[in-house]
Amino acid sequence: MSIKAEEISALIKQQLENYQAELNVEETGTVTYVGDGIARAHGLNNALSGELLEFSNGVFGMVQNLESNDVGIVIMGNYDGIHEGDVVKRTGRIMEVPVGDALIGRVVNPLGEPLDGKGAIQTTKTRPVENKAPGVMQRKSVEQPLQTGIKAIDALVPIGRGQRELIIGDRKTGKTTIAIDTILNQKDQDMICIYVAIGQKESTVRTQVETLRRYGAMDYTIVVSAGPSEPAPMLYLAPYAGAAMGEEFMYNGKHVLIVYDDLSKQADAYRELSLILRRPPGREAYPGDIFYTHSRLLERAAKLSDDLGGGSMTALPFVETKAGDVSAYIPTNVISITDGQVFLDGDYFNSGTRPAIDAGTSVSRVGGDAQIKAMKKVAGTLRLDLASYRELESFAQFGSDLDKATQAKLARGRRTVEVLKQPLHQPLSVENQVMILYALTHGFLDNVPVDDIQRFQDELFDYIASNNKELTDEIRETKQLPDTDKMDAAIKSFAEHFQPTKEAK
Amino acid sequence: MSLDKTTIAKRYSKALFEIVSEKGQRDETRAELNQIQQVFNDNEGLGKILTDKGLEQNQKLEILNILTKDASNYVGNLIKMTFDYGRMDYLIAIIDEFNNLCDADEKIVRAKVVSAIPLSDQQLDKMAEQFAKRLKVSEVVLDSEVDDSIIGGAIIKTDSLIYDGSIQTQINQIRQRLIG
Repeated sequence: MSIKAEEISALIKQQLENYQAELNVEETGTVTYVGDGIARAHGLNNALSGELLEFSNGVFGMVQNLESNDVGIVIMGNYDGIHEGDVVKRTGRIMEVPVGDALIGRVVNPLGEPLDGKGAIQTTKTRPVENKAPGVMQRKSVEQPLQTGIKAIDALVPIGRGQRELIIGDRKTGKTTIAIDTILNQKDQDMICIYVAIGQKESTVRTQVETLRRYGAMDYTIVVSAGPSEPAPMLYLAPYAGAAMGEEFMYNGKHVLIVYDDLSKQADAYRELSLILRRPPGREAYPGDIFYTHSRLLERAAKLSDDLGGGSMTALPFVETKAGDVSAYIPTNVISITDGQVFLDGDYFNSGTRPAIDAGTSVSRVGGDAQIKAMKKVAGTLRLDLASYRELESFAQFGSDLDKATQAKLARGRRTVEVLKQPLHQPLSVENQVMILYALTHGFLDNVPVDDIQRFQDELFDYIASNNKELTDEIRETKQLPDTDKMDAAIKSFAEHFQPTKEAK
Repeated sequence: MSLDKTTIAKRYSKALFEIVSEKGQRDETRAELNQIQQVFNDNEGLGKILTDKGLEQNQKLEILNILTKDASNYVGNLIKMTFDYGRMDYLIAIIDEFNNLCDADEKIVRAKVVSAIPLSDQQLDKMAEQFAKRLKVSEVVLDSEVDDSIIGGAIIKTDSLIYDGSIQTQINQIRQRLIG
């Protein structure tokens, strides 16, 4: 590259010509305390809550506490260079993050700075991190389905666009997998996905990003990551930053899926900084406004009215329980804020039922309206059937003297559980889901050995795709269940040719 | 949770300020308090030994007598009261806070001027006058300081505001502009 001295000096000349000496007026304060991601400062008499401040070493902070003598500041970034006696300046701005299409496919930190080494984010648009949620008249009830591609969720606890569905369970029960699979299934669905990793191991986030990239999902996904080695304010801020990025798309009429993985770590980070700011601790030492912290975040997920473009933001917050205890403080809070929860059970997970969704305690309060007609018909009684099977199952272990009806119920139940199992990263289209659930509820699987169910399913899909394509096309286009005689005929002709594995008998 | 120093100082000084303003003895009180502050500044640790348990009560009272001997009624009472409540440590903060209250009431702002060359009294007066107009206060008391690292111009610092018209800052701004 040759340096054109002429050109450069012309540019500098231009810059200098436009330069005007201005009197630099700054409102300042003095740092009196620094520690663990927060600082206190004297002065700053006119500082506003939530305002961005600049420390003398260039690090930014956000005003959290306004007290009679000083202000409590959370530091966004490295606080090693800040000392007692340093000057803090007001900036007059509030905390904002870059938003827009340029972020898609990127991995950023909660301040919107790139973490993936792909250079600066080319966008001029920003949005405030904290933003008021849409009000009553700006919303519309949830009506479009969000297909997760996971049979157990789409059939039992359907999620609609604009809904907030909590994913809750112990550690290592497959919570993140549900998020990743759901994101993978949004390919070509005109959705933008945001995965907010809060306090997740950097290596784990790396793996997730790699998975998304491998399946081509990074083309419509933004990853916001605040690792465990970041100071607590970054973890606290991450979901709000993610929500701001999602809102930009939502208010432009697009559909957004945002995953907060997970909010219990965010609550812990907020507890940490609240305690250092000397806010009084409440239950489990969480501050008094921990409920508001989560409610104002999740309330920003919405289905907007047609006047506002009809965009939506679906939130999938995660909460980690300890030993399945859903009555702890944070789980109960978030359960009451969200429109339903998917409960993942450690025992199911370990016994091989994956995804380990507990049908009894999982609910969706609004998603049913968003389910397509065909799915509603085939999955209508599935939840109850499954619940009664689980109940019977424990009895059945005592003996085999059961009447015919009970035995049939048990056989059906075992097959239902088997059908709802799904391997990693293989989301299913809704028409195929309807197909297999139809086969299940209409008794076509009753004669198939349990161990052969998965194979039966896969081969059924292939068979339908090559012989009765019009059925799946009809479900996809009309959202209605095709004529039952045709369905029966198609599945029957396949079932007759299905060869069970010999050993499985 | 015990109250912090500033909160306590504000309470004591506000009470004192109100009572002396009512009686019209503000200026005398202020002058007297500043003398006492001087005593405390000259004898480092005086506040501390009067607060902690190192000395016998009657020894402390002797020191207290010296302090209050020539004091006016209100100042004497203030010292005795702060002693009784074990707040002698905070006396300097209380006096500072009292001075702030007086300044705020009389609309006086104290500021520090930093310039590259020493300023004449005339220049300072003019500056104070202009600055007072800008801040909409009746008087600005300037404290001058010379620092040649700012190259030229001047910086005025008050409690929480910095008016920076120095060449150094302007050069920095140009640098920012050229880099960014």
